[in-house]
Amino acid sequence: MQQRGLVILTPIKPGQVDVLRQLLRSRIDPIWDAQTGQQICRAGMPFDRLHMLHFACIAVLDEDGGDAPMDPCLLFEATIDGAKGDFLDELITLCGPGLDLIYSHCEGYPASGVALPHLVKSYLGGHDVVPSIQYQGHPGRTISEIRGEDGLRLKLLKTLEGIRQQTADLPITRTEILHRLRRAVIAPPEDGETDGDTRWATEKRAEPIKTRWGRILVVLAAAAFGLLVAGVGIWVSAPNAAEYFLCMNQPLGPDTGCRAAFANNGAGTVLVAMSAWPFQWGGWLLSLIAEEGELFWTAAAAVASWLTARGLQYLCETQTKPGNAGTGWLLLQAARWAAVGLRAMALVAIIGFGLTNLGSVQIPNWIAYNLAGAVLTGALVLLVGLPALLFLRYIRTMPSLDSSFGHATAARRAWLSLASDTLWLVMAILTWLLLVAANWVTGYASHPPGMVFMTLVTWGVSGTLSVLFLLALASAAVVLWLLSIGVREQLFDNRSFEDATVLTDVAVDASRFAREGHGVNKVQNHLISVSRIKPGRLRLLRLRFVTFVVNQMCVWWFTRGELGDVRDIHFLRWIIIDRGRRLLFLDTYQGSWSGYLDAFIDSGSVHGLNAIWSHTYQYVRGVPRPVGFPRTECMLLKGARDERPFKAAVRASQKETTVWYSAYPGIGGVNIITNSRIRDDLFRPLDTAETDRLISTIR
Amino acid sequence: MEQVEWSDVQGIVRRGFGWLPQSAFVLLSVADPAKARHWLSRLPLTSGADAGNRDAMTVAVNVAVTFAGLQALGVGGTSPDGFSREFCEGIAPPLHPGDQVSRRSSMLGDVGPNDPHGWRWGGLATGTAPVHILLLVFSASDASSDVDLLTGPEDQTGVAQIERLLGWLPEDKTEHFGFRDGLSQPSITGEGAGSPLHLHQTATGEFLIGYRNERGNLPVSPRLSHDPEFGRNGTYLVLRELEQNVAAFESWLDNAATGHAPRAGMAYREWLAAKMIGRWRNGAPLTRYPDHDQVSDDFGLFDADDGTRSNDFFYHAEDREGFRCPIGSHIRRAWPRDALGSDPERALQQARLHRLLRRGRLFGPLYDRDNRDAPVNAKRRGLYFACMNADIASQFESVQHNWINNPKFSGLADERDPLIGERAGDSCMTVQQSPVNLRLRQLDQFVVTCGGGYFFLPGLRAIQRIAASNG
Ligand code: HEM
Repeated sequence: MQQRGLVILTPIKPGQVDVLRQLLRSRIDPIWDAQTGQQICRAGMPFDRLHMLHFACIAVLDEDGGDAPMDPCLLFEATIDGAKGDFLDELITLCGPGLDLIYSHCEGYPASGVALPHLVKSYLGGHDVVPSIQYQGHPGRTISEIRGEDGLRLKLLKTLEGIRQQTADLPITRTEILHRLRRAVIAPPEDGETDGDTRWATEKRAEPIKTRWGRILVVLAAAAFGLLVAGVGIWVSAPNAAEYFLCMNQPLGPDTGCRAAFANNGAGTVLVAMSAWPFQWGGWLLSLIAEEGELFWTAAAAVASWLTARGLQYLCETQTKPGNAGTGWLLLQAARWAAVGLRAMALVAIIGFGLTNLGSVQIPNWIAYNLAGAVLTGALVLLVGLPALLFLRYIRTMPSLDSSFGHATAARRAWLSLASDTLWLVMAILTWLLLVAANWVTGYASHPPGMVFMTLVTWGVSGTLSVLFLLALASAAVVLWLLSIGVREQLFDNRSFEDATVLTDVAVDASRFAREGHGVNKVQNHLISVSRIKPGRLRLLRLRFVTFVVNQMCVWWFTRGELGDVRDIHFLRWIIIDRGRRLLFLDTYQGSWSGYLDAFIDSGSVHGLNAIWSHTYQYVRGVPRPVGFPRTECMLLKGARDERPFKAAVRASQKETTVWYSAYPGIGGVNIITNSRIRDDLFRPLDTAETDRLISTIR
Repeated sequence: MEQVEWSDVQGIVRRGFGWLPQSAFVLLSVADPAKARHWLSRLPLTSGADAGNRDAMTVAVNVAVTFAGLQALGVGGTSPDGFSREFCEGIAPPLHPGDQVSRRSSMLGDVGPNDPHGWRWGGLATGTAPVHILLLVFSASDASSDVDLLTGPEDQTGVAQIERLLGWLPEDKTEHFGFRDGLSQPSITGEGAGSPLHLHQTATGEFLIGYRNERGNLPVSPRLSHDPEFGRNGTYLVLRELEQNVAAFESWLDNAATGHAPRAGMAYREWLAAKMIGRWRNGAPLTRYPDHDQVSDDFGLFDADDGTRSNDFFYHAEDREGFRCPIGSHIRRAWPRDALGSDPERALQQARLHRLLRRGRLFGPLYDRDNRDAPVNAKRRGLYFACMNADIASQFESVQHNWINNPKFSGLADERDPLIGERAGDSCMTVQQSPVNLRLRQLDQFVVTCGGGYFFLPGLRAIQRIAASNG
């Protein structure tokens, strides 16, 4: 099951910060019971009855110093199994008194409190900020699975103890031991036995799709890209072949005009000719539109009606005032729904149109003769389209990214969702165009099959080449541009921010992290860090890009309990809040603070850490000027590797975790993985060495 | 390779003064700052260069200070100024109101019987004076009389004695539980023989400030208002008084061994004891010598020229599952070499960041194993555990917290160091073996912490500059 992070940020009423913090400490934070190794939850806030909840944290984020201190806000972080809405319902039903107690100190909380649960739900849901980066140390494992597998280990341990006593010095084979362990697991529970039923363990553990396929997909995509580039290289370096195809294609496709260039075999000329391709291509498309007028206008009409409907929806959304239920509101709402319906109809029309025209192509020919062209075109679409689609999905989450204080107006949300919807449409049309354009042409100009094949190949090649060429040009320009910006930024940073080394001279208030390392935090710890994002739109854009890339890596690559080499993370999130002015870092990890940071510093993930945190600075009490992150080189190197300034910077930006709850405080991240492995191995055929390993890992 | 300025470094960093068997660690408090500074400048301190030629030397003197000590001497401020945070807060910081135990104490396992409220010195017990200066005296014959010579009356020296911790080192370097100690030591790059595999070589900056550490950084150097170079050639020294309950250890072994046949060429109880430490009593590592028969009794392990090599074992290649040297044994926890993680090379690199230069001494008479009721056995005994490191948090504290007292160490489920770990509930240790692991249960509190402190051991010139400053 998908684990989710729910992070709710709400502004605190002026002057209530200390009262609220005191209240959290004395009336909300669960009490640690060392005897049972469990937390005893307070009456108003029975976290332990929320069956979807892994971890919860409540804390006050306020600022020490700085020229323009930001408004203090309250953080509620929950890691849950399943849907957010369901969790909120459960939270409001079971923890109502606690919620009222806490949130009555926050701006905008409905005065009726949980008496009107839907208001509370929309208040909390409306302040949910979506993490820019979300990493899970043990993806897909539900609470009951984690607890159950640990129980399984204990049961096996007990069984082993029994075996050891019975057979004290008698020899016993490992097969026999394995057999007994399996029997113990599948035995139905006897009456009065506390270990319970463990028969579920014989079922195969459900592994999340991304854990199983993520890496394979990434490798395949990389391989496809490599193949494509290699293919293009061959085409370019084998001008005879290219010329042959290009000549054959002369009457049909766009006039590529690079025959001579290929013949001369001068790389420079080839490049010049290639740069003309996109324009020729575009011109050719226009002429096609002129020829195929009817078709074009039908399509254009469908798209236009979609756009109109979407625009209408946007208008309605921006005009609607929340919480107001008059006739005007009702009318707007009705209009909005009408627009949504219209849009759906237009979409159906567009899809229908697309499919009919795709269908008019002679498919058998297409497959038989045009395989190479199809593959190339398909690869192109995938390579350009897939990252773009992912990025769009990410952009879609931006409305909530920026809404941390509820300042993000409904208008802004509506605008962003309009933009992203439109982008989707454009992407879809482009993809469709690429897919069918070649066939479209050949379908209408009934040439011999061989010709069709050539056309498609040329299409694929010239298209790919021009895209790659443009990409190369663009990236060269971008690199130059970034370099110049980089230099300017560096100068600016040096002028504006103190070096992080000064932090090693500053005393920090140790009460902020007094709970680390003992009591409920003996095994698992929590870290909240808030820093400010350096000024500049470009910087923010770059940070967004970096977080996007890192997040994709977390989603597709780091799905097996290790981030780089760091194995101690339960959950980790970075969130851009305050409309891009601050960066919030929330981290649940196993072990000690210092050892955990060491693990980060010494692993490959330190580059990611640098790339993210080098965009931030902070105000620290006792230092007159704002302090930057330890200086990085090229955004990736150095930085956090300078361990003492880095640790001092993290300490300085750390906020107190005031309330903390864990559903399984005694189980470390490494244990979760080991326990799962025990379960996986137990009912699998094993050889001698594997059996030995299995039995020795039960401990 | 960096040249170490041994003439400016205090001798104990370079050598443990093993040829001077008697020792005294004297805890002092400053009564008169001016006089105390003067007294400091007159101390006949032994440098690393002196320690290089051992023959002429019959007494060696080194000195270290606490954060409070720097203030008492009138040279330190209240802000850290580049000193490590742990040093500033001290080994046993006072509790925040409302807390049962401080973060540092719980990290170090100083809870229950180890609680600083019950310490004899350096802790939070009422009536113990704050420690300012630690004088380390090593002597060939009688350390106590050397101390008398060095300290003298309080009104002249400006320092008052709190406690004189007399220690010694047996000739066979065996600690009270009966194991050969002090075998694995990091060798500072540019100093020492250096094993062929570079297993024990460690960058100078891990033990001395002013040099590059294992990450290639120059750590931040501590400063004093009058002396921006104060840290150079200095290091942090951790001292802990660990009382050993040998009787409990022996009787636990007896109980656990009743009715068991000898194993691996040794009595069962001895085999158990070796599994807890990770070495046989004479120091032979289980990873290389799982069977005691392979080790001859007069095993001259580390004295012979090629002997050091038997200490150059690797867990990953030789003993990954812990079937020889259990994963939870003392030496594997205290320095896991290349055992943590899937890549041994990386693991070793990372483990190198957490090495300690150990310089411990015994206190109390040896335990009489032949006559358990001997009066001498009722005396207090133990180890003055002393170690040096350039970064207390990522070396001493990290070893103590992430390895020794970590219930999840290396994927274990819930156990701590069998010898010195904190005790909670039924304390266990798992001995990996085929086909079924053995679990040692109901481990007693064999070792109790009775005192401790974090000190700074400055370079010699830095000490002269303290004396020269006028407060
Ligand atoms: C009374 C308490 C202690 C006793 C009896 C004791 C005993 C021993 C023994 C017998 C050895 C094996 C010899 C050797 O390798 O040098 C050893 C190794 C070691 N001990 Fe302890 N020890 C004690 C406390 C500590 C403490 C508090 C620490 C650190 C926090 C520590 C760290 C080490 C280290 C780093 C090694 C070297 C491991 C290796 O690489 O082989 N010991 N100890």
